[in-house]
Amino acid sequence: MLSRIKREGQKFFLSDGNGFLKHVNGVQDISLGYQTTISSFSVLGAKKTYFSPSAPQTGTLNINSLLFYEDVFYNKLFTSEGFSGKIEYKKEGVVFDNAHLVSYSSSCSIGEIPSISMQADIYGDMEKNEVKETTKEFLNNSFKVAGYNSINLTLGDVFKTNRVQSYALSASAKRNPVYSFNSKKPEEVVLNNPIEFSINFNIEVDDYEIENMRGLEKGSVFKDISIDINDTSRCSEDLIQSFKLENAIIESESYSSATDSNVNLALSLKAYKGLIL
Amino acid sequence: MKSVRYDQLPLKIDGIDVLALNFSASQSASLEPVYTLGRAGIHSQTPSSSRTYQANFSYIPVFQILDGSKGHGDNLTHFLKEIKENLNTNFNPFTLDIAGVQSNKSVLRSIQFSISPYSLIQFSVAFDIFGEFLGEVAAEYIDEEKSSLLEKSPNSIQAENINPHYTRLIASPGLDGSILRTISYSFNVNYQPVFKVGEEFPLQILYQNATEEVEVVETDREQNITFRGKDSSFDIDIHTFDPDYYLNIKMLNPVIVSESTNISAGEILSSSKKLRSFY
Repeated sequence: MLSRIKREGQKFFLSDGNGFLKHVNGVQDISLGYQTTISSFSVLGAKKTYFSPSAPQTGTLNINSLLFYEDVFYNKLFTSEGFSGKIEYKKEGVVFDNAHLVSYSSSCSIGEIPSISMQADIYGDMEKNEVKETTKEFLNNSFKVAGYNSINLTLGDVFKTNRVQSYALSASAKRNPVYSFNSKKPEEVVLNNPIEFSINFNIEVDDYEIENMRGLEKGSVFKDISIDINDTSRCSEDLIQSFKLENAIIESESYSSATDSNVNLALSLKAYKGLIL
Repeated sequence: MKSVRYDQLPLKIDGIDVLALNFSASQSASLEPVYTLGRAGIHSQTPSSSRTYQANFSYIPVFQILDGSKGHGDNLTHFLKEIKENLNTNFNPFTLDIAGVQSNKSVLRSIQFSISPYSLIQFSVAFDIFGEFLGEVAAEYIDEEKSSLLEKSPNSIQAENINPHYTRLIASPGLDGSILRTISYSFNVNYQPVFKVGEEFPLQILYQNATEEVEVVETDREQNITFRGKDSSFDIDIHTFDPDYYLNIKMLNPVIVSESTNISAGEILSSSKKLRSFY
């Protein structure tokens, strides 16, 4: 009989670092796939076309999640250690290992729940696995709800008098897989330092001073950024996730206004953060 | 026939189909002007040496078991092994045949290839042809059955099918974790053609000497290289899907002739060494 698999029929697991898989809470969307790169070539005197692998097979894992629980992905940006995990649906399962986070983003606007999304490249195996996980343990167990009203943002003194409407943070970690001759898998996946962050704020302006366009090289346009996302349900500042970036450089400022709206400023900054050794 | 497509022009070496990706042949003559007394202009142009053809092509090697020996690769690498091991002055030239145009006085001048994970291995070869290279172009196709010989090629690969038993050039405990990234190989042969008055082409072609070079690129730098003989070695097996069909390259008395270490911002350290053997 044909049937479908709904959200309750799927489970996502991550390794806890000690070789045990544990449930991950709060996941909204998952996509998992792989790609094989084949090149073709022809030879003199033959009609046949030949095929040869021209690059290793790599898998990709994408996850979107709301911040209902602790974020289990952000710290994986800064490590050169791969992680493993599993997706289970009905009686089927797919396990993967040696996954490395290559991008991460977090955003929130007024009226929204803060969300995160990540992408990982899988350099290890991605295989069918029909063995059901029996664990009832969770990697992120304590239920918390973040809201736009439970975020503390700091950008110098800017946000004391200028109202933030939204933030968007994204980071990319470049990975360099080093292949040798004896294996389909890389011998090592090197994390190319530093990790690049882009941070965008939308501000309703009170007294914000726009920088001089030619002042990019001056120290005055470097800012420290802090984004603390707290639990809103407990009426206390229970931290769910914190992003702290030092010496972010202002990349762009865009002033806009209209007759039926307040003055709005889009502020974009760039920051770099190194590998955690 | 106004034009001929590549798929109608099979290349053969000694009657064996070669999975060639390209082919070029050229010939040239060394002509000298002849001046005479009493004539302002040139009298004529006359050859000062033999015409020679050069043929160059790249191909996907298909390994064979030759003379009952495993590990000799194809008939060209088998020839190189014979040179290295026997150093015989006399040898049989190859017969090159491209769709019916052929010469049986073709000598292998050079062969080179590069190996890196997930790249297609192609041998690039150059031949000198000490004779005519003639014949009618007769379009034909390589049989489909023979095409399936790609199974015995190191190019029908994943990286794990290339299996180098790479011995460290110099024992150095700090290099155990080094990753071998690229191997570039070349073999160049010099010959002495034996001419006779009254004949344009040489009667015989004799082997003179040969140079074998290997450059390895690794992720770590080797220390204390002495740049002298007897403390280096290079031995590699390049496998195909069929375990009986492979190529073993073993340099005889190689010496490290150069070493370089490179690093660029955003990259990982890369170190290369070049080894050379003379035969």
